[in-house]
Amino acid sequence: MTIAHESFLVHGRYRYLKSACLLAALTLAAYIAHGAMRPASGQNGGTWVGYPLGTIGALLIVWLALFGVRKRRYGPGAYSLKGWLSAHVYLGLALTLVATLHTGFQFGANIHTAAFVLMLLVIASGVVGLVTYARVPGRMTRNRAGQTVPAMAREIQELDRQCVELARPLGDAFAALVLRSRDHTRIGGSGWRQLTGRDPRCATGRALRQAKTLAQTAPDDQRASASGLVLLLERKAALLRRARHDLRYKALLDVWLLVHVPLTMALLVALTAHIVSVFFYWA
Amino acid sequence: MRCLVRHLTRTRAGGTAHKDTIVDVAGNRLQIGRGTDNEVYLTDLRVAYRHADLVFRDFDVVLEAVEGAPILVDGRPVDRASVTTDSAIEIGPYAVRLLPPGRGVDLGVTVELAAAPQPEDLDRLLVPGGQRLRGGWLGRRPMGWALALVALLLTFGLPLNAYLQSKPRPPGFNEGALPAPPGPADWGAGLDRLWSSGELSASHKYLATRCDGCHEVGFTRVRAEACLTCHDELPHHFPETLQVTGFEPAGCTGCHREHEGPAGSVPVREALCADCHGNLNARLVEAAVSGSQPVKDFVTHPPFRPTVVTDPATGGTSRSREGEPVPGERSGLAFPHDIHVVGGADGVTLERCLAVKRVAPERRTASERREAGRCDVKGAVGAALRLAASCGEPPPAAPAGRPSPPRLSGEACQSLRERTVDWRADTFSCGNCHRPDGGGASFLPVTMAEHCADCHSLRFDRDDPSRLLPHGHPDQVAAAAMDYFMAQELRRPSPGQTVAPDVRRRAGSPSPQEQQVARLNAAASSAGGLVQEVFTKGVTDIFARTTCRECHEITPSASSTAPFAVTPVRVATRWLPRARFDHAAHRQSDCGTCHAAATSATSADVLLPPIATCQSCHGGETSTASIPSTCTMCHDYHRAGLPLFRPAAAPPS
Repeated sequence: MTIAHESFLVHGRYRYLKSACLLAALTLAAYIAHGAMRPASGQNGGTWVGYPLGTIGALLIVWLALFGVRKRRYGPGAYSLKGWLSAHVYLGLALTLVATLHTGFQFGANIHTAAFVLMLLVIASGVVGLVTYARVPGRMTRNRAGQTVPAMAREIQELDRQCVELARPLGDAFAALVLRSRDHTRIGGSGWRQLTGRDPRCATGRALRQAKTLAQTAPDDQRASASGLVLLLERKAALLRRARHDLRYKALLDVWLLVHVPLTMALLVALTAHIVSVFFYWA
Repeated sequence: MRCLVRHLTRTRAGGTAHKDTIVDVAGNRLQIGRGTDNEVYLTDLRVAYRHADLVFRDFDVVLEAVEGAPILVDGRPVDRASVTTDSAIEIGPYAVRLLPPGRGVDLGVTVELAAAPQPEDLDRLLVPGGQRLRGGWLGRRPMGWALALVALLLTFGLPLNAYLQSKPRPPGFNEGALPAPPGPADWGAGLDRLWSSGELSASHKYLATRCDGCHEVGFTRVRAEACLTCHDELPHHFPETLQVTGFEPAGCTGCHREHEGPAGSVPVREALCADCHGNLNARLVEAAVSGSQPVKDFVTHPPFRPTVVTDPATGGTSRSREGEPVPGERSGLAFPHDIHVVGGADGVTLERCLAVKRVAPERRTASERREAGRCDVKGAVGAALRLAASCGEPPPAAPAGRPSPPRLSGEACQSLRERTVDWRADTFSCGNCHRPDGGGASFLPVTMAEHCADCHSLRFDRDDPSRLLPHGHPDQVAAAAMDYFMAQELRRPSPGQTVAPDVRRRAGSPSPQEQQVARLNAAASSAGGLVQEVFTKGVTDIFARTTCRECHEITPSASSTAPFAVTPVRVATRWLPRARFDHAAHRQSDCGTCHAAATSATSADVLLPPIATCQSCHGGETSTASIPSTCTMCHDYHRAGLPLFRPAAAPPS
């Protein structure tokens, strides 16, 4: 029996979306009701609404950060990883409202606002990741068309062999460009190369351009081989494009975490400092 | 030339296999290359189409490269070299050797593919380590540690360092001495303000780098004693004898919140006051005291209960009672406002009135006619205008038997003309007598000399109008009168001097000394008569002269120097001493909007407006159609005159 793929956003019939909406609604209601009472001190993190909201927010942040721990603990667990992810996403989005209302919109040049800003950056990078994970896997599958990158690489190598064979009767210029195309083409490399998914100095690309130019002026007996060579190089270039796009999609699925995770660490430190300092310099 | 070309291959077992080809070459050149027309046909792409020639000569064999194609002979790249059977020749990946002559051929070569084929693994195509985004030192784990450490430094390290630097406190700090601002070398000092939860109020900003000014010990709440270090003379809100339940003197922070921005930490919200005053009787342990009517905001504020002077002799005051009308004030002065005040807003200066009146009526322009109309007012002002008009002019002829009209001295004339300044418009109105004090909130006292004397002079002798009675104690009035009449009498030539000393006096007629004494007695009795008059009689033409009786309460006195006493005049400076009112803030309004002076005929009237007048503009804290006015707009919590605020001793921390 095959199980149809259920996105983590839909998981459990949107159970965590509903919980998050409930939390957001309760938070908003408490904040508005408190505001209607026109409290003497105004609305901020130190009121009888502000303290519980802050507590909820802090516990949420710690629990959200624990997702990284759950992710690395293999095994069924009480809740599936997909369930955890679903809850992580929705409750993380609700945290935006909880924390913002906790501040009472009172900001300043201090560590409290710094922690809030860090939290917003973490959530923003999470939203980037969310959008990425919603759109990229489908594109990745379509791009792969059933092949993995090593399989594409082997097909590229086969094409290289065919190019070599086809270039034997051709002149030295063809031989040189075929050898360069075979020996100096690279898939992957630095992070930037992976993310952009293109290599502006790709040896195959240059070889293809040169081969096209040379093929036009090839002598008649070489023309068939030359145009065959051009076709082979075009097929190789298309394969290279697909392989590099695959790497690019993989990189996109990873790059937002380079922001999301380190900032979470900084946020945890700033959050601790925020809580400690509130009670160190208590009113 | 007959040549042998032998292609060698190594078998897996280690042996060699060879494939021989005999070629017949026209000429003495054996061509080596990738092209199929070469005798030595090498297929690898690294070999040029026409790579090299072996030239068979009489005594040696020479290897020549074609067009610079790379060849190695014995490890050295050459273009042309003489080769023997011992030479190791490399052309591309092929090793070429000459065979010893013989076997029916002129030249023999062996060719072996020496360089192993390229490895077929994928590492050449797929960059190792370059297939996943790891980020190296920008990866998740290193950056996580780095950012966490940076955050630790900024959120904990710097503020904690600043806190530790602030210990011990500088001398005098505990007594409220201002802390010195940190110098450039103390860059770390005061950075515990990174822990501040909001901007300090403007008046506390100088403490921004000294958090320990209020937060004396970590992890404890701010004590009232910290505030009292500087604010040590704050009075309380009610006397200690009053017991109020539910009122815990929780210290200053119960009402005063800091770190809420520059607006200040003085609370203004009504709820803080309405908490108790909304139902004060329920909180008072004893019976209800005066002033405990429930009030939640200005809309529900009870009517004003002014404190009026009831006994000017002693200065005794009394506050009107709840629900009862306001009593009259006994100030000891008789002053009707209505005849002294011009109603209406548009003013015309006194100077302008005089100028307009000098123009003949038929020659006045329309605006001059309007101004003249405004000048024709009744009452005291009209009289003053007419009086000022007559300054400097010769007096009209008096009808027979009537006293001549009063004349003003030159100085009084000038002063009257200058009397035009009001709050906003130049009218002979409230501002002529009620001048605002320095702050504009209240008014300077009205004095006889400055405000009344120009119209109400204390002259008493028609023949000597420049002599005035002193406006002072009745003793002084009596003494001045006596001095005047005595001096007058003594200046007259003595009748006894015209008679020669040797002329005999008729019998029965008084002697010159007796006459002198009689004259002086007459002067004394004139003085006594004047004193009687000014203290007991009013006058008919108040601009001619004024007597004490006209405005003051006169009581008989048993004093030997003056038979009368004047009740001291005590005018209440503040009818509502428990509230603040700033007249300067209300200067856009007419005085008459609130003070019904224009219709007040007696000085017993308390000219306070009813609270409804104030409520027509001022509303509660949440009002949107009136000026939002909270309790602290007019009232103070810490009331002057009460014992100092000293919260219950907190347990030592």
